[in-house]
Amino acid sequence: MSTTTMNATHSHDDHGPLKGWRRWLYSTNHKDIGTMYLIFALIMLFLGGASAMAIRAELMYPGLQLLDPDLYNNIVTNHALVMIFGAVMPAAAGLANWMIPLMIGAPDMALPRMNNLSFWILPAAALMLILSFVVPFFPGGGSQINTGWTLYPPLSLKVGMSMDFLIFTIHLLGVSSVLASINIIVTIFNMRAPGMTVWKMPMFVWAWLVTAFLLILIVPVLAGGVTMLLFDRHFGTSFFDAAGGGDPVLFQHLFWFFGHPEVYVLLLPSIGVLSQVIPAFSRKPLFGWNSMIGAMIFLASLGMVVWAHHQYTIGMSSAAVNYFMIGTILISIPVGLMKFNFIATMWRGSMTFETPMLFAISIVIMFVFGGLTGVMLAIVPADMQYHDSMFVVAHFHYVLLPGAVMALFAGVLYWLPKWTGNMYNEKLGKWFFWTSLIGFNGTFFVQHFLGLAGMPRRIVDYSIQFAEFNFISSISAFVYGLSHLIFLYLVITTIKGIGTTKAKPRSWEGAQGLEWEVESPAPFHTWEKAPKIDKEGHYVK
Amino acid sequence: MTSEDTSKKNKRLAFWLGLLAIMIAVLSYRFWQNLSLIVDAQS
Repeated sequence: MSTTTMNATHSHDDHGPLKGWRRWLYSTNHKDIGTMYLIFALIMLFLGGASAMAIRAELMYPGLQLLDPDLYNNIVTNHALVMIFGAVMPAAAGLANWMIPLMIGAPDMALPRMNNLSFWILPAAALMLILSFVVPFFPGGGSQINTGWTLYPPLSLKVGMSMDFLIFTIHLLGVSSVLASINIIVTIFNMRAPGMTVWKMPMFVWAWLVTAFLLILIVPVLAGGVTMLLFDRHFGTSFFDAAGGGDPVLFQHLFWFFGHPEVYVLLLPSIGVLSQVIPAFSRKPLFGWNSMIGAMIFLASLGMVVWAHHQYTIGMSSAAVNYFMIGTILISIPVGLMKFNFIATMWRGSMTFETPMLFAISIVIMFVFGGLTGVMLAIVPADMQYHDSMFVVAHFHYVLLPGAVMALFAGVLYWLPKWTGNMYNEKLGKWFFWTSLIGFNGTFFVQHFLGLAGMPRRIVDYSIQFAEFNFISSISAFVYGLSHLIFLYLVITTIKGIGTTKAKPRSWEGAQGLEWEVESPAPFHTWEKAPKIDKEGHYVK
Repeated sequence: MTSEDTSKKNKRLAFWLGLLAIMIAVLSYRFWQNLSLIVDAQS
């Protein structure tokens, strides 16, 4: 992807990348590491997608078709963990690695070797995760994981050794995330070009700054929680074992103290992407700059103190329940502010509708839908009805697929010309957009009704009255799954330059920011000489 | 500021952030439950 071509400012001691596998294994270059993150995320996306297809194939008809119940539960657990930790977070980290140094005028990340370590922990973690899935199929491998991604005890205390693999996977992923977050914060604080004050930083960089702090505050809590689980399983403690005086609900608190802000870890980088894409294709600056930053900080802060809305049914005091309900409903304020800012940015702009923009507009609409069902779920008496139903599945897929996954696709398509030097085939992009939009809505919209009608989630079989909507959901899911093959084809043809045109340095007419001042594809080394930024935050040639 | 200075500054900030992460892991466990209470209850 990157080439050894240097820009005009390079000095004689510059060097290109190493050759062969050493380039990737030893890499300390933010672009190469960003590329590896993105490729890793794409592989995991297809792995997690395959498990989603297996789930929908099983649920296409009532009765047992393909999977036995244990395997079904194992796949459900695997799907969530692979998608969250394997696909979305590494994809967002890939964008951060590629774009943050380019956007703030830094030659690389602040701690390049640590950057290499952060990435290379991931394949080891992925291997452990896959082992947790397959180990039960070997003699003496114990039972399959049937807890879902929440790993609640007492069930998780009784699973076989695959749970230990999963716990170590979470440890490794936690170390990788914390190291990457430290690196991002240090880069943003210490490596900005002169004149690039924090208030002039692109919104994507701001979004990642907030996300990185959030990660440092929450990931260690999950690591602590699963370590206690490990101790309960093997070392005779009873943190979560009621028989020894422990409390299983304690784990739920620890898990959701991580788990709820994790949603914002997945969402905020995508909000950053949309804050770059929407102004570019509206040819207007982002509306409400300061309020956007305030909304992100408010969202992250509030997101850390509302975790127990995932646990209304455990029997908390009414004071606690009221606090968590009101806190959760308040989250709609910063989120609403962001959406209004996006709409106001588009208002009377010279809009064009290239694929990243189509994704951005559809995300604004669909995310509002996911947010509205979120407010429904925040209301305690209502949640008592919806809890553990397919309504919840529909809700969080409406939040996370548009809010995180589709926004990342928008970001990849937006910056692909900068990475590869080629404009992707817009026709393929539009095909990808429309098939994924139709497939996604067909899959998850009907699940709201299934949930309201009483179909539980995480269940391999269901009553006959849910058959029609499940059939529609499964067929749509296959369309949605297949649409990603179009994306794969699009990326490969763009990298190889098949049926594409050459990208200019400023690949999109309305794109603003330092990343568009360097050549396309971006040279292996950029901003070795810090760029000059004027008082308005513009690049001075 | 020389690149060595920046490098030192980077490492110093990274150290404090790393320490913060470790402290949170330890404190979360202290915050949520007192270890000795649980172990006592078991015995």
